[in-house]
Amino acid sequence: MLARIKEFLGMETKPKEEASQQEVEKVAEEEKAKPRIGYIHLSGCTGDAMSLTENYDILAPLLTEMVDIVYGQTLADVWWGDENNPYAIDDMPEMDLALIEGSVCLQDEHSMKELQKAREKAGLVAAFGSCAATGCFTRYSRGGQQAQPNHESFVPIADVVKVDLAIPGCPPSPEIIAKSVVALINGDMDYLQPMMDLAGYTEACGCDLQLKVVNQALCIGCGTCAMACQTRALDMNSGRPELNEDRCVKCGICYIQCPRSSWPADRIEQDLGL
Amino acid sequence: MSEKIVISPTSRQEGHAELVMEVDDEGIVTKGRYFSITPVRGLERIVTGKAPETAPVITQRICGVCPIPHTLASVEAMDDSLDIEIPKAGRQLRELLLAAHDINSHCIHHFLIAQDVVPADLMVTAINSVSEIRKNVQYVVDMVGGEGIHPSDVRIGGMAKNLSEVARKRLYARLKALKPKLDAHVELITGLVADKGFPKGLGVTSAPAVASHPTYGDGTNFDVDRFTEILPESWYDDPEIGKRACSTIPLYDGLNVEVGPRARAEVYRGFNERGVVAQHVARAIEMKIALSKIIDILAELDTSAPVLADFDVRGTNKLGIGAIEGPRGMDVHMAQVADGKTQFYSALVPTTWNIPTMGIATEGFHHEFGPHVIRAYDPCLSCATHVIVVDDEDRSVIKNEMVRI
Amino acid sequence: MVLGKYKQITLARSTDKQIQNISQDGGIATGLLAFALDEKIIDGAVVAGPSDEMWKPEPTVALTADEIMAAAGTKYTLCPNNWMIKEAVRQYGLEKVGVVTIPCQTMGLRKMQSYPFGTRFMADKIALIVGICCTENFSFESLKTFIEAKAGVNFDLVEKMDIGKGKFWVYTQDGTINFPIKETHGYEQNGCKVCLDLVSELSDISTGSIGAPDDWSAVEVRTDAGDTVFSKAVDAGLIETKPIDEGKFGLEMLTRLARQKKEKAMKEIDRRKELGLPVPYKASSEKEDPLANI
Ligand SMILES: Cc1cc2nc3c(=O)[nH]c(=O)nc-3n(C[C@H](O)[C@H](O)[C@H](O)COP(=O)(O)OP(=O)(O)OC[C@H]3O[C@@H](n4cnc5c(N)ncnc54)[C@H](O)[C@@H]3O)c2cc1C
Ligand code: SF4
Ligand code: SF4
Ligand code: SF4
Ligand code: SF4
Repeated sequence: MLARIKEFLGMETKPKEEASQQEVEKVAEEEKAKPRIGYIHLSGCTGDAMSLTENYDILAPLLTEMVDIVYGQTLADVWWGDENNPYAIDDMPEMDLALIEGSVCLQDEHSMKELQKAREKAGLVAAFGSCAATGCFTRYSRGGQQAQPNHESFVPIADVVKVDLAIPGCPPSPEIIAKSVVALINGDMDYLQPMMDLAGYTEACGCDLQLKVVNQALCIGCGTCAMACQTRALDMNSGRPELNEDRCVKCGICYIQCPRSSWPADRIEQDLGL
Repeated sequence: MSEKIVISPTSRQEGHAELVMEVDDEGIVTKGRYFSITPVRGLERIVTGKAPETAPVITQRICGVCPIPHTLASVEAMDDSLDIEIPKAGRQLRELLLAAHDINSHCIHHFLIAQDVVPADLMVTAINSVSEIRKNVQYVVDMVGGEGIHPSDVRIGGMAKNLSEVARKRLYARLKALKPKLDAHVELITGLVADKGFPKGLGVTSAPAVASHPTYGDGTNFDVDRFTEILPESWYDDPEIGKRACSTIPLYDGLNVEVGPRARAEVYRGFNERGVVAQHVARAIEMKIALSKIIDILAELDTSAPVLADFDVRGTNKLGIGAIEGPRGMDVHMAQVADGKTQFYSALVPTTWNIPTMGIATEGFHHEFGPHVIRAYDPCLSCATHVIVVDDEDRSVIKNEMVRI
Repeated sequence: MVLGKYKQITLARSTDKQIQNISQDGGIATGLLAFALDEKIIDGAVVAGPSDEMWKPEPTVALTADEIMAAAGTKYTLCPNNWMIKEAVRQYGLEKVGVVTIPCQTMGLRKMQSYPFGTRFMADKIALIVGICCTENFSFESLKTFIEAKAGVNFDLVEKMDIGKGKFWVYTQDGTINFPIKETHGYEQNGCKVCLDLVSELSDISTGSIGAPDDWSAVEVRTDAGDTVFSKAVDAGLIETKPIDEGKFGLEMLTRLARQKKEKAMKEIDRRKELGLPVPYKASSEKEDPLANI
């Protein structure tokens, strides 16, 4: 199964004839150890989970055969209660990976505790989607609304707990989600390195292109940033990105996709089969 | 666990909700209260004071399960406030987008009720059917909306771009080929719901059905004067709930109402059934209506026609209303623009309309049916719903669990 | 490794007279894309098409061979082709996109394919990347300076421009003007100074003029996708090939220039690192074979 999924994702170049037997054995062995995954939904829109489900051709095996969903208000019948709630329930289980969607509201005790508990219980904590990773548009939240005027401060989860990796995107593409989960199952930390690096990228904005690329004499006018922007906040003007602040949600994707922000050369060559 | 594809919550309040039911000796619900307890990100506050263009970008992020209705309601409210007449092809693209999304979203709903109604031996068939349909309709959303989940190309004044002729033909062929598959899917789901044998009268309420249009939405059919919004503290008779609830209660003519596929069918298609089964049936039928609409629009669309109107963004502070018939019901956004800035913004999302009604709809039947009722209306909140059953007499907690999906 | 990994390196040119007339060098970019379109290997291509302004290219989705041909010829200024790929797969509805890219654009696309964070359903739609060589690129105002101030011609009269044999060439109806390439120094865009790639090392197939006689191109066939199109086009007689000259004006020159570009860029990278300025390449001088860096 893993092999089929990897092939589907183009994550592996055709294995050499001699190596294939070994490969099969390795895969068979790996399949036994299903990682336990938890999905935790803080202040997000569920777009990230929706994107995950758009891996139409491989979703069912991914969810049923390759991982164990052990926690999640939506993925399992378990929910960790808090003292505030008079009806607290089951304790949170141990997880290998907690996928956390949404930023965290500092004024919402339940969210804060759930996040901290998840950190305690999970081997790896992943900021799933830009709200969790960079705050995304919730960076603009400022309270003063019904029915909870006090809910004012929404921050990336890394502000509150240690985050091991980030999968940004608003939402992240179905492909990157599948590739990341498969890499995790596979223990392919090499592939995940950029995600680990991104765990520290919590202050994102379209203006990063100007500050960190154009201002640093690095921009070459390739247009990748404008291609990647999911809100079409970017145009190209005289070969440089032009930001329309009115459309920017601070997801960070433009800068992340820019070939001049980071360059995972070895991985790309490997993926290309070069 | 989890052969199901799992989608969590939605709507202005996103996320978590609680269903608190008081029951009598037989376990029959005497009082149902349903409310959201998710942090409020304050999207209406975020967009106020900013350029009108910001509103659709931000408000589509209210919900990743139904972002299309929010985007459309937002631009329609802005179009109205700015007195823009959008080009015909722009309107066709918007309708196309909504119809495709409607099918996608109803499919997701079917995923979520699968465990309730689909027997084990048919599970794979049902799930594959859902995936196949979603893949095709999301293809439409990607091309027309620009992005499949948060559409970037729906704009005030129309759409950012028209489709190419290549894309139109491709979509037409693909969606036409989808018809037999969709028909079979609808038959499968309605058949399974019928087989399930839900008790007669389950989920029936007397809440008036409200809808603005048979398929798309029409802001002129939403009368602001008949609308009021009250705070949870004054709606729920339990002060503890009133305090924790995170959504306001919208009322029409002073009453809580029902919105959604069944409400649309009642208002526009003379469909008189009510309750859980009727919800499922109306939803399934709507998928067929949406698909033939998609095919018709794709046949007619002039891909060389303009799709975006010129307009003056300054505005006159007119109250603009955008009402869109989303998969789970009427989604109303209201906006006022003056001096090139959004002065006022309000979004009345489908789930919010249904929230007070859903609690009441659980009354009169055994509490075990409670989650079924919620899911018949709205899978979004239900999948994150914490069900609490309290004894009528001594208010002790009888049952306390998360709703299964 | 200085030229990246490839299956085959050869000289080639399009046999189509019309393409020969309008193309920059061997017409490989135009010829291959038009062929791939014909063969349904791609269903459209993103190219540097004409805009309202002469010699100012605009990323364009070409759906016909004519539209591909309208983009032939090198425009020595920025044309953010990658930007247009989004529209090509969305509103244009293309499922197999061909694209012409200079090395840095190739890098943006390959990074996107390996790490498609925000680019939903795009990575698998890129069917063919025809990479063209690039030493440096210029802003439009710089190009204007070359043409109008240095060569002293009106933009509208220019029929072709070219860089080669140490000179910048400007062709008009009335004749040819040139000036030493040295005079363009200082005008190249700053980002190019840390660019390590001359030959689009990550493309499916790359093509350039260095190492080839006039009207021919030096082509490196790199991936399976590139190999398939190229050999099909050769078999169909649309592209002719001849072995590349190993000597001073052939492979040797190409290798030398590629090496020079890398060495120069690495120096600049080291300089910037010393200043504490950001440079995206972690490897550079730390790599075992620094010349394998892209
Ligand atoms: C800025 C720049 C610098 C170059 N420097 C060198 C060099 O130093 N050495 C060398 O051997 N070759 C260089 N080239 C490539 C060379 O000029 C030819 O483009 C290449 O040999 C292809 O020739 P052809 O006859 O196959 O292409 P043609 O069939 O003429 O087609 C040219 C293709 O290039 C594309 N194109 C034109 N201008 C641009 C642009 N600005 N950005 C992106 N795509 C564009 C067009 O879309 C067209 O499809 C450079 C090209 C550019 C754009
Ligand atoms: S990052 Fe985007 S898709 Fe994800 S939760 Fe936030 S708004 Fe939704
Ligand atoms: S992706 Fe980076 S290098 Fe390319 S145009 Fe954008 S900012 Fe410049
Ligand atoms: S410009 Fe676009 S991609 Fe960049 S942060 Fe803003 S919204 Fe995200
Ligand atoms: S020299 Fe490199 S960075 Fe500059 S335009 Fe050419 S390929 Fe791009």
